[in-house]
Amino acid sequence: MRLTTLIQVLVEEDTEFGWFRDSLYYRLEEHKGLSEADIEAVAQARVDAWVEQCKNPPVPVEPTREELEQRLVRLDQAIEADARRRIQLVDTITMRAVLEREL
Amino acid sequence: MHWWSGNGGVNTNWNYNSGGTTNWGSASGVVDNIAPPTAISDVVFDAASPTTNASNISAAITIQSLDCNGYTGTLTHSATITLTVSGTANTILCRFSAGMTYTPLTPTRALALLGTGDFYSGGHTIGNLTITPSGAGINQRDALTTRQTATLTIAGTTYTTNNFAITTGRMTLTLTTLAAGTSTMTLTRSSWSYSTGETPSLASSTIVMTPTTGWSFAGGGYAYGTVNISGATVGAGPFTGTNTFAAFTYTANAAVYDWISFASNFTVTGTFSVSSSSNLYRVHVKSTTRGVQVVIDNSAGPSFAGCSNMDVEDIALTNGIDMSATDTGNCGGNGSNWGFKAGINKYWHKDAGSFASATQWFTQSNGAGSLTTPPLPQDTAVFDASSIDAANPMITLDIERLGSVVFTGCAACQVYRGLSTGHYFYGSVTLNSLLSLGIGLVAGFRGRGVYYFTSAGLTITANIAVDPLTGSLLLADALNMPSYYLGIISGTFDAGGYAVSVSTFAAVAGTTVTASGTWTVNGSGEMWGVGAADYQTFNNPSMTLNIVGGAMEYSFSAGDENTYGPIHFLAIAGGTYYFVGSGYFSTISFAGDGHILFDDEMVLHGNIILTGATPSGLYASSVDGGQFYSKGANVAQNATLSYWSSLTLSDATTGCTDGGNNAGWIWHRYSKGVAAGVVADLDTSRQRSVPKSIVAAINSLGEIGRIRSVLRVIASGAVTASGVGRVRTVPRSVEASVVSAATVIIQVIVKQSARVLNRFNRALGTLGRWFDV
Repeated sequence: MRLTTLIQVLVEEDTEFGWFRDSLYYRLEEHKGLSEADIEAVAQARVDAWVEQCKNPPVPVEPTREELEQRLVRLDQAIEADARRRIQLVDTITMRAVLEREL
Repeated sequence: MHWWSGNGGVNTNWNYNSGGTTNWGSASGVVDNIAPPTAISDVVFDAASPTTNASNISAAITIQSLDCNGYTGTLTHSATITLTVSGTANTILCRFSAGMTYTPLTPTRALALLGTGDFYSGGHTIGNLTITPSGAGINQRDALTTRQTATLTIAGTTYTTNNFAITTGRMTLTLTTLAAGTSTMTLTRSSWSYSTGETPSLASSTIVMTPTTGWSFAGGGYAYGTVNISGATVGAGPFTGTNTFAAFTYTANAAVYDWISFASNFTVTGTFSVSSSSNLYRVHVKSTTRGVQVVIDNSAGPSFAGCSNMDVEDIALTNGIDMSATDTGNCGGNGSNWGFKAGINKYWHKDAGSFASATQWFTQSNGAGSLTTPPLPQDTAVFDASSIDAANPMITLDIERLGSVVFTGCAACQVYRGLSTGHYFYGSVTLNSLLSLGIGLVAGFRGRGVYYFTSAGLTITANIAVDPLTGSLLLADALNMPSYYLGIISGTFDAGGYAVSVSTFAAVAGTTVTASGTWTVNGSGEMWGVGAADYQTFNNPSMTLNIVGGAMEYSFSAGDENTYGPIHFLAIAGGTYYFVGSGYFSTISFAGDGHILFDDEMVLHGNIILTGATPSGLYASSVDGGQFYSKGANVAQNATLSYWSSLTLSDATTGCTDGGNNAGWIWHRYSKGVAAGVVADLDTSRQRSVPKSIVAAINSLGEIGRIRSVLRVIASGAVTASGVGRVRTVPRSVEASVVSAATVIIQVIVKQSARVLNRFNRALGTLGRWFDV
């Protein structure tokens, strides 16, 4: 098994959208070749990208009618499954009650 | 007996009866127009029967027997019509002659056989066939073939194949005894289903299944001879029943990611062979329910030599098998009796290519040590500094199941999805900021240990499903997938303190989610869904959640009784949010016009900050008159609140801001843990039990009065008692006024000190037992 030594650089910045936390990982030899400014630039780019994304997130896609209908089907299926589980649970409780009485 | 006379001419329906003319005679070759057959009729077609026009079964009919021996004409069968032959009186129950023509064009031109006797299909292809033997049962006297899409259903006592073959689409068996002898039963479509608790004889038979669609094998728990399955379009099973197979062979469809699943333990005595001819399309052998182990009893020492290119998951063996000479994949959950080949690092060399190509992989970096198999689920696929020479080559990720994949240190390359299905990683994934990722479908993390995902600042362009069962997936850095879905299916997802940006987040029952960083959710529809508290661990009070959305409808399912950190609805822009579930929240802020609906009880320990952009532009309401408790300092502006059965908010004296243009708000007075000089007011208008207990509570506060504080009791708007310093008891007159008052406000002014505040809070806690605060 070959071991790879990595340097972890923690990135933390309090932005208008809350604390942004990230990590940068460098191989040992790679890290030796980088200045503090180089690493700072990468870290800042991560922060800036995150803030920019919070400010201008991808436009959410309005669900299609088919997707809404599928969602409805899933909900109905969940309700049906819950109803079945409820029946099973009631049966179990009833059975236990009967057994307890018999005991 | 009824003999076909065909006297109706072109009117050949069995039930033709017009002007004294029918198609039936009382003896062979006799034309005497007897009435059409009934349920007690023995119907005969023989060499003397006319053949000019086809005899047609135009309406459902039941007869006692049918014998077409010697007939060379044609028998046709109208659609959706069933010919039922039900009898016990004859040796021949139903016989089609080889020389006749009988071609039901669809399966719905059905045949039903009931009772006892012999059945000859005469080599003709039958439609749907239902056989219901009784007594001594029904004997098959020649090879039986139905239409490919037809179902052969046998229910009753005994059906004996007499070693003749059966070829049909599906077989559904609920009979006591299928005496299959050495018959080969070929099922071209779908299922084999045999009910449990019967006594079939199948141990010398052969079942051949060549399904073209999803199918299953419900074995009923019996001893089978040879079961040979091949050519499934995709997916096999589940196999149910604690069956025993003398020889079990599954030959996967080597053109798709095929799989075979088992729902029950089973035994193999002779051979067990599951194989795919493709390195790329390896067959996945698994339990029907992931995480629930199925045991193969191989104590009789069956051969596994035919197995190839299979990945095994949740399948255990009773006895050891050395598979280390094969490239059998270990996806976990398999117990210790499989002697899998140990996982190794497999190094990519080099540049463009396909994951599934064995020629791209080596045992050492820089192209040394060639391999014949791409990485297995127990291996680690490594892209290192020697993997890429060319400028940004394209690498196709076309293996469905992989172990760990590491891109640390490799040069820039493009990684594209090569499957129409998802990818599943049974280990860690470490990306590299120089990668370009193509759009994927699902990246599933299924490793059952503790594994990491390092996205290296890349924007992930695939949905992620975390499904490690008892394992954990930990983030090693921030996760950015703003247009894709993050779902926690099982196990633990630990985001650590890292930022997470997703389109939609869901965590289902039984999972644990740990997060303390800032999450941003930017999606549509069901953008946040957390399961119920009974099954869920989602207590992340130090997590900040930003919800970003547009002018559409969303749901935020908080689960029940979970604890959240601050939640900020950042840019609702006219959207509607259904806030489903209850829980404990620190702060909820909502900026912009829109509608937020709460449908359960909420306890808000921080602020609710609702600031609409325009007057009356923001609505916050309860779907069904739910409860809402706020114990923070709150801000509302341009907001309308409605449909609440219970609402308690702080007022301006405790730091809350009525920003104007608000409607429907009830500004009650309550604050816990106040600072020096602040009046803590308790509204007892919602007093709910034991009025006289008020006195005890007031006296409790009076104890605090000994420490330089002010106590004032206001009953129905009038001050009934006040004191500075050592106020220890309340006079009887005050007690009476308090008990009879419509509203009581108790004010306490305390000096700021931790000790005082602690005592004050304890006293408030005492009051809280009696007042609905």
